[in-house]
Amino acid sequence: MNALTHFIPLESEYNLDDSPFDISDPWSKVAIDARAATAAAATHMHTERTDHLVPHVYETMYRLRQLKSSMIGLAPDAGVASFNLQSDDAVASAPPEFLLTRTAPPIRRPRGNTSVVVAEWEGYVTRIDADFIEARLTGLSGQGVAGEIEEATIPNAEIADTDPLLVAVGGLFRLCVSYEKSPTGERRRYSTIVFRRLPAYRQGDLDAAHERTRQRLNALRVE
Amino acid sequence: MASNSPILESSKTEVVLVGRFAPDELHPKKLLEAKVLTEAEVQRATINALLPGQIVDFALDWVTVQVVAQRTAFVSSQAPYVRIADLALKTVREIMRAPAITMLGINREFNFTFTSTEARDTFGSRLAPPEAWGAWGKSVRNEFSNQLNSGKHGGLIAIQMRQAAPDDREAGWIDVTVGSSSNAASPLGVVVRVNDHYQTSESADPQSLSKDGHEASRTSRLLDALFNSFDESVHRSDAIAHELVML
Repeated sequence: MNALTHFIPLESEYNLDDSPFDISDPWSKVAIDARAATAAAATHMHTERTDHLVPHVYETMYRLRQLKSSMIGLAPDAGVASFNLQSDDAVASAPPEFLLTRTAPPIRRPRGNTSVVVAEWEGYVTRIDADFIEARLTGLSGQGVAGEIEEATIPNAEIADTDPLLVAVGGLFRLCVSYEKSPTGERRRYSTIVFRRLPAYRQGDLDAAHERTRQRLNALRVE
Repeated sequence: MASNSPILESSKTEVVLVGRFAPDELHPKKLLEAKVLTEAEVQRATINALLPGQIVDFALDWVTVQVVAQRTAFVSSQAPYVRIADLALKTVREIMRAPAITMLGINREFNFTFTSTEARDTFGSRLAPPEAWGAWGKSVRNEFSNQLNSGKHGGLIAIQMRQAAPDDREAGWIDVTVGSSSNAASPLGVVVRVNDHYQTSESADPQSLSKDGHEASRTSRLLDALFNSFDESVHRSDAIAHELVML
């Protein structure tokens, strides 16, 4: 086995039972095809670094998608990642060669229509009733909204899709008013409430907070 | 607002972490097990690419997640964008076993459409006057009388500006790029991209840490920057893009 096939095993070397992925998923099958094609392509690149291979994986998958789309008469998904692996910029400063031959957008477009935010509030729940929640909102952005504090009553129907574990007194959420443009050009204004899933405090965070508290307490002088 | 102001057609926001990652840790099923995503979200997920140990790339209704060994990206065009910051923080802090983050980007992309060829040329000429390019620039200016879609209309294609040392971070910069939009249906489209880039500085490293300790400290500081600066970055980029095209 050479170094390349060690990094990206060919089909015959790949133990499906060890895969953490659902191999019955059709896109996994495509991925396997892409990997085999990529390994073959890699032999022409004379490199052992896998990060060089990743754009070729996407290229191979893109071509497979084009093929699949042409077979069913649809335009291929416009999204092909064109990121620079060494940068956090969405635009590759030195794009892979294949990107020069097509006009792929730099960021994969998420599914659905795109939206534009008109106003945004951060809120937290102050009371929960059978039919509604009460909340305090702080305006974050939007004309006449930023910096304003308001009380709001929100019907439960507005948060029906929310994970019930998140809807609790003190629960943080964002409320956005946006407009959306459909592929046919129609605009629609709507509001969105999303309860936030913040990372849990780690023991280290709590220890650091206790230490800061202890230091401040020790610094206090009562005369 | 002037009637010939460009129209914001769409925008998207991206959190990019550069460093060392184990892509398999961010498989949707792993995120479900860790209660970072709900079962309904995972069931509706579209898997774009899965290569064990190499790539995890999937999309939910509101976010696309792309993970390779050196880079993790969370992209959304659906507000509230803070969800992708929360998702990034939660996955790195609660799921990844040994992440090492060396760079952070809070990037935004805005797609505007101008109302006329003249308005788009005025905008391009304001950012880069053809006259500044000498006699050749005058030839470019003369082409402005041709229609934009005639194939004989030159002008500004792309321009980039950098703020090298914003004072709200250890190190980093803000790059703004303006260019022709490949997303817009008409040739009047303009894209504005903001790359809000954060790095750590050795001068801020705590003393007497091991190499691993420094790595963990830098990762933690960049995650803190994401938590503390995300909203401000999003709003600043919003203001930059709008002031740029509306002036």
